[in-house]
Amino acid sequence: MNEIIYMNGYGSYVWSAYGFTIFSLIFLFYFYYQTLVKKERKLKDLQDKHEQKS
Amino acid sequence: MWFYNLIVRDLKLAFYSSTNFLFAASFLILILILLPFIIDPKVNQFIQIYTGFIWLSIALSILLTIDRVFESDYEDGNLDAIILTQKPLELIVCSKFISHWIANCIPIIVVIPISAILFGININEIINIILNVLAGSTGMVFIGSAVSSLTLGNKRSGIYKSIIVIPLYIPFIIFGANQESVLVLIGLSMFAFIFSLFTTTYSLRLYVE
Amino acid sequence: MFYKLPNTLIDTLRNWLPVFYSTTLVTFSIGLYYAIYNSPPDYIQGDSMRIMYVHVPAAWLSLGSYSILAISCIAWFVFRNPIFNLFAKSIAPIGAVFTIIALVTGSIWGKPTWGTWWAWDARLTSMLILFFLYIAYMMTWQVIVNKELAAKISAALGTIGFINIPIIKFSVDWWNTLHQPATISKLSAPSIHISMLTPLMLMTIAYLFLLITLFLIRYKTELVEVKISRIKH
Repeated sequence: MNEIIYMNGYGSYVWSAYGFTIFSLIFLFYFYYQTLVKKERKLKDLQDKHEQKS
Repeated sequence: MWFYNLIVRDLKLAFYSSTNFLFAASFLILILILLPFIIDPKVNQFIQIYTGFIWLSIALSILLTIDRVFESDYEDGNLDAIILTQKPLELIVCSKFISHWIANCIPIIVVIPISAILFGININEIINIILNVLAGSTGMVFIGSAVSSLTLGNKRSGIYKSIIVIPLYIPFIIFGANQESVLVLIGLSMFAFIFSLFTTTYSLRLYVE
Repeated sequence: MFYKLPNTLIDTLRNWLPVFYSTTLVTFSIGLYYAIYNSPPDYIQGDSMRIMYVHVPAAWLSLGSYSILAISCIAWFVFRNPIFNLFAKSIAPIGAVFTIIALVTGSIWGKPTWGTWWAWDARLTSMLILFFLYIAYMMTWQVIVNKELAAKISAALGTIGFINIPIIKFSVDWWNTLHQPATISKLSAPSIHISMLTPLMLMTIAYLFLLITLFLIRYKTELVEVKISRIKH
């Protein structure tokens, strides 16, 4: 376990690289998913209003 | 005749007061004033640094002034009036290019020998630099006008114009800071002229219909 | 807009997306396990070589997604179907983020291995240019108000930037500077050991699934936006 964290001296480099990667990928995924959910909600609202009018 | 009149009108607008003559060169003057504080002019390779700074400030000052080509005319409707006169759009665009180049680059070409004397640079090198600037700045003005015509009437397009224009300026800066490359710069400028002419007429037609 | 928007397309995506979510998670977990735990450290570079397992797939896929973008833009010029614009708009931000990941992890890898965070050699500079091409593509849609002009300019940008891809690919062969030459090419057996090839390939597959998932989410978002704008008018 110690060996995994310290990586024989390169631990800070390896984990900062992996951390940046995983953080940005998760952030990207989360951002896009939220945008999709928001837009779908807006579409549903607009469709309901449209049906109410006609 | 109308071609000449258009150019004279734009130049009068650009130089309407005697202090306005150096507006385009003011950026260059500021950078050249700060240059002796950055590096001592008696250093061996000073001519390289001086040329580099000149080209850098030319690129940035053209970037600052490209808004004046079409934006101010677009906003108060003069661009519509000019285009409605049914003259060939390519020639109108050419006249804009020429007047814009004169308004921007003649002040720069006036400032360069004065500052070069202040820094103690040879007359040969001054002539070389001025020839390079003459050849390269034409291409840069063309490209700048073309990119500014793509984003007419848009207030928040400043950073976008910079992102598109700066990579297109890189060949000019590379060859300009070199000493023996006037012909390459003339070739690049001609290339830029064709590209800018087509792009500008196309986007003006779209914007001012 | 001037094309029929198949409603069934959005529904099909809604059914298939959860499959892609779980596949992405599974492949990422397997790939990370292999990359961190189950592969040997390098003889010379030690454990810092493990950064390669996130750096290389990101770089490959950023080049791949720019190729998809450029091909969509060329297809738009040829066929003028707006669906190609939607493809290109969807893939652009994903490719941009992959490029940033490649640049940052490459820079972190460079510090212990070659002693420098950055060098202006051909491959790194052209990857930086690729990043700015993505940014310029995305900004074109936001900045230019006239939508048909925006479509034309962005398609022109995507097409002209395509020349950057061969420059990046072959720059390590043409100019021999800092970045190491390619160890995996199609024409010969890879010169890399199987125990290191496995995590690399697994991470590439994981990234690929992530790319497809994100692309489908973005594409669905763009389709929903088109529907919204059609209802409004």
